[in-house]
Amino acid sequence: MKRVLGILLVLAIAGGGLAYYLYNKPVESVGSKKPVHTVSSEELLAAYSENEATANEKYLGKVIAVKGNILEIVPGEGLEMQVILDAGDLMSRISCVMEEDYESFLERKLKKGDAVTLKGICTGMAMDVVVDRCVVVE
Amino acid sequence: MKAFGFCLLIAVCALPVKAQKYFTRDGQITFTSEAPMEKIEADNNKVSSVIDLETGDIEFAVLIKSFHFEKALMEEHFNENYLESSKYPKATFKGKIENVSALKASTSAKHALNVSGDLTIHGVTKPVTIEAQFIVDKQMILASTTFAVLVADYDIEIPKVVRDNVSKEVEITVDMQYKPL
Repeated sequence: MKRVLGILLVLAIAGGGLAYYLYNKPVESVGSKKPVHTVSSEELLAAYSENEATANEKYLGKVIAVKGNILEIVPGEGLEMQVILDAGDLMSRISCVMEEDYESFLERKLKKGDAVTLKGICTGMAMDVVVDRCVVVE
Repeated sequence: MKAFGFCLLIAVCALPVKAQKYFTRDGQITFTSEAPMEKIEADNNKVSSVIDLETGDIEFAVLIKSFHFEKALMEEHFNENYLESSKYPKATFKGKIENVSALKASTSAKHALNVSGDLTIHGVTKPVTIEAQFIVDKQMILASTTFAVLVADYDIEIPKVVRDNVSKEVEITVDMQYKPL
């Protein structure tokens, strides 16, 4: 009897610990995930410009890799730093919100005009097509 | 006479020309839920908005999946169960700033103005009037406001199980910096 109680207690503590861990765990990094689609910045914008609903069906909420030339690097703190990719349009670009620190991103020595591939989660299109929690694909 | 006319023309050209449309792609919206068991907060830094100073028209587009939470489980529940963001990827506001002429003439003064229009969240549209603070600062318009939203008004269902963790009323804080278009 004592044995059973002992085992149950251990399980309860383990279960409690697991629940606590799961409840409090932060959002996973995209880094380890494989992109569902790999597109150029022009392709991505064209899809959204043509039909937003269809583009959302394909890209919304999915991990995608976007290739493009850097238009702008926007400083920010935490999850606010952005790399803007040129999509061939004056008003609409691909806004990649980076998971990386601004300082550490600068160390990559990437600048305007450079080609880069960024992987993140597509959150849709407002003025720009937004890709969130992005990491640089080496 | 001609000289006078010419001088008048020059004088008119010298008047400061204020841009008509202002926009931002990086507006900030934070929502807070204070419940007995837990305080939940999420930030969105990719809010898009346009103001037309001539007509007073103001529009917002908020991508729901761009809200960042501290905890993965909360972000998941928010997207999958409460807001159903795969079905309703955007929250929008379309309305008018009342007495917008106060902003047109202004230089660096603070104005509290009412903004009225349609707020659409989770596919449900409701007319709202919200007071917001506007400052015209050189070539920028700064706008901010805080208001409350009843979750049930937008058909958002909070399961009984988490009722002590998510409040029925959510506080929304808006912080925008507009530049001329």
